[in-house]
Amino acid sequence: MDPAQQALGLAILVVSFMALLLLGTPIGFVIGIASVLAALALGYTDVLLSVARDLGNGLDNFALLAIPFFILAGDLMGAGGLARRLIDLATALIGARRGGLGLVNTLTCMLFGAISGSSAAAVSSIGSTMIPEMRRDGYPRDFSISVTAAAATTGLLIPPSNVMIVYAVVASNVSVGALFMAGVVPGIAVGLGIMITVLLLSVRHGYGGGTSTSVPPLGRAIARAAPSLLLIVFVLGGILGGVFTATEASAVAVLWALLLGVVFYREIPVRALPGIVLGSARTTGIVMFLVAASQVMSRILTQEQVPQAVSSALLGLSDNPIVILLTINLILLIVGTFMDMTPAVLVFTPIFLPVALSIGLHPLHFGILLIANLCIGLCTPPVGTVLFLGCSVGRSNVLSVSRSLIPFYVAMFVTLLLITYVPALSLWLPGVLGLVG
Amino acid sequence: GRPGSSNGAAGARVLRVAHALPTSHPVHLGIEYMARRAGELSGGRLRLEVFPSEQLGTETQCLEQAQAGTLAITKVSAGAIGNFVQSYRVFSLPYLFRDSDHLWRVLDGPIGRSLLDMLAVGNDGRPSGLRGLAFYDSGSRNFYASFPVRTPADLRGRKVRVMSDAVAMDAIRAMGGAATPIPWGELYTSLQQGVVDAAENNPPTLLSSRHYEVTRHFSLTHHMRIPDVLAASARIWDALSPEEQVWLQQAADESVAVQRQLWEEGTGQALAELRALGVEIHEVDPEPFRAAVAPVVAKYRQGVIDDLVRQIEAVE
Amino acid sequence: MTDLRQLVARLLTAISVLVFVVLLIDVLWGVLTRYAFGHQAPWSEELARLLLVWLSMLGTALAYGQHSHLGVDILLQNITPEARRLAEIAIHAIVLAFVAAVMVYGGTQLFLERLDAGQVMATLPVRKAWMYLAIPTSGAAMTVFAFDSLVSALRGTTVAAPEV
Ligand code: NA
Ligand code: NA
Repeated sequence: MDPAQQALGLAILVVSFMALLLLGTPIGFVIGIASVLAALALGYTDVLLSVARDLGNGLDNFALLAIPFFILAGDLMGAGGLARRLIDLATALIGARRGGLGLVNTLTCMLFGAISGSSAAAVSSIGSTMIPEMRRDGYPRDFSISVTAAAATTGLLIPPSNVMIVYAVVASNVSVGALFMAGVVPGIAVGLGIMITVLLLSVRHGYGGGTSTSVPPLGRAIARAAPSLLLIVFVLGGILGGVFTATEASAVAVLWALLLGVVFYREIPVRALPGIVLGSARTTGIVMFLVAASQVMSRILTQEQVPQAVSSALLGLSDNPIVILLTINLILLIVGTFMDMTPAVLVFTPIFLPVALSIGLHPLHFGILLIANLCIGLCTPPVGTVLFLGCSVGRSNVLSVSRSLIPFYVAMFVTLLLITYVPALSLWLPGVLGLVG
Repeated sequence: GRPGSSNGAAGARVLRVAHALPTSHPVHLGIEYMARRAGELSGGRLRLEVFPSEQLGTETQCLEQAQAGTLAITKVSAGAIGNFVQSYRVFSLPYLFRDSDHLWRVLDGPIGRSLLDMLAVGNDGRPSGLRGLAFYDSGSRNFYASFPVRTPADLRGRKVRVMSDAVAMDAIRAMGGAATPIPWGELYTSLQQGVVDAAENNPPTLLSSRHYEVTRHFSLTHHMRIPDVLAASARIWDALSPEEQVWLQQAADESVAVQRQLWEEGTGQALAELRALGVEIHEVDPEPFRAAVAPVVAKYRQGVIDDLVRQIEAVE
Repeated sequence: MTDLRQLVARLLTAISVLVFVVLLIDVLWGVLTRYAFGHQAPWSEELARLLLVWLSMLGTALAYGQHSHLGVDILLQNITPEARRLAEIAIHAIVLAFVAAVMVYGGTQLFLERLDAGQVMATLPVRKAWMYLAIPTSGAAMTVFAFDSLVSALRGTTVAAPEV
């Protein structure tokens, strides 16, 4: 096509995207509207009908079913009193010591995030209990919020994880089950990085002496938390045992969470169920509209062969894979500061994955790298869901919390570099399980 | 205008071609050949841009776009067309063709020509928005599993992954297997973990999907021969000048022979590679399988399908 | 107008909860039949995808009705109230244009085109068009919400999100 018209179309895409985003338009609509304007400028025919079709086609995918189900399972576990039981278990494991509660907070966020698959759920439900307790034990408010926010992001790397499903769908030919397994070690690695930071800072500044912490007996704590932890066993065991696919596992997780919350723990009254389902339907809508709108934009980028252009530009920059990966990481870190996780995965996977593959990365490894990178962005201003939730749960302001997050950014970045340059961190476990196809 | 086509800088007409297969696949190579020939025949006035690997959507989605005129050409399995044009359900019938030679005598002859023409007419007799350009080879489908499938009894009680297609599911059940509609993307893990015990496909696809890593036996039952179809958007075809139509059709026709040759080589190579990778390949007597699926064939032999089956069976 | 908004919100609530529950039962049924009856119900996978499209689209409208979609509000937080009102008017107008033009108009065209094409689903005895109908349906609900929000913003009154 006419290069001038193509340049104009893509310029309209970028400029209208940025302008609408800064104006405060919801991101799904930003993506949709910028795409419509670009399609019109590029001279596409039947734009309105085609965009409507792409919205539908973006959603018509069996693997995406896991998203509403894991959201619902997470909401049911939140309502079912899971947080308190996990905190008790973590306390019983770690006990009272310098930095103890900080470690308890990290571990609980990892466990809750792991089970619910949602870092937002982790930061709000764990944060609302743990931040006040840490305050009582002598931890500064902003430090407590920072620990919670940073630790909550590990739930996106430790399976199940909705954003992994989104990546697996966009990357195509990536198995959700294999990706889940690829995230286990990196997720734990990020968690360990955060724990080391907590310990170093607590010892240096004398945070937390364990005075206010009552340590429950380990046996009882395990017994009370075991049914919730069984969810992970069911989901991962069911997938690995060949009982069901990763997608079907999400529906089984809902069933288990229902039994737990309504029948076993009896913390969810039956009449509360429609409200919980409704809330999950709304969250589903938020995520899935982004998925649908991104399909529209990614078609335009594909048809105009933008990924190829970006790829050759990046590869032209250097022929050194280390430099290229560092460049991709830096671009993603910048993207992560102003874009939320799901839209960033949707927009940048088709652009960067071909580059990553051409320098020999495994698509599972690249997915984990991408998610670990964008997890940092969840905790950075100006757009950071987890940071904002943490600030509102812990009642502090974004700027001062961001300052106290700096050591955690460093820890997450160092772990990111490890994940980037040591493929085995991501590929070892799925390899052992025979899932690297 | 730019209905899946556009005018390039040098006044060339650009047509977008999309399909779902990887670039190493014989079908993609056939399409690349067609694209090159279209450029040569037209002296550069026709330019085909090829988007492989589901870049513009799944097979069904690409077909919808072609019908709507937002995509110029797509490659689609004849089985998937059955949802748009009912006559094409005939291809899902197991053991419809005696062998590869029979298939090509049918498709190269008047029945094949009329099937391509039928593509233009949708389910209720109205225009489907498509134009059939050519049939491509897609070989035959055969079972792969962690065990050999020599007779239908070997499938008894086994979960077999099957395409989301009513006829195919009935056929698998008639052969004794439990038809399980697992999406393609989840199949590797599902075979590995035992969600399903077996699956079926052609040799090049078994190789490129790497499913052989988790299923060491490939049993050549040849139970289905579903060709691929190159379909153009009728709306875009009609907007082409007569000479552009001639170039495009000629490029498609020329690519057929090349693609069939590539397919044959690809199948031979795939079988050799699979054998080298330790996959046991079993020649199978198809008769017991053919007998097992006879009731399924009888069930779907009605109306247009019955007419087609009779015509196909009459071809020597 | 606000009465209409509440009516639409109530309908959305009821239908999306219903769709979600049927979806859950359908997927669990697929797993169960595989083990209990030896073969999976052939339609369970395709029905699940059909319901997923509907759930997602209805959920999109629910979230929009409650102002829950994610956006970047740095600018909105750092400008004068009057400027913020103007920005909100602009956002509502832009979203209204998108949902009305693409989702309602384009979506209806798509629905009719697919109905006309006669395309059926592979294992369900219904046309593919019914899957796409989710788009204009959601678009219509969002048109009501966006119009209502726009009118409120123009009048200078911010209506709290209705209880959904
Ligand atoms: Na998780
Ligand atoms: Na951020």
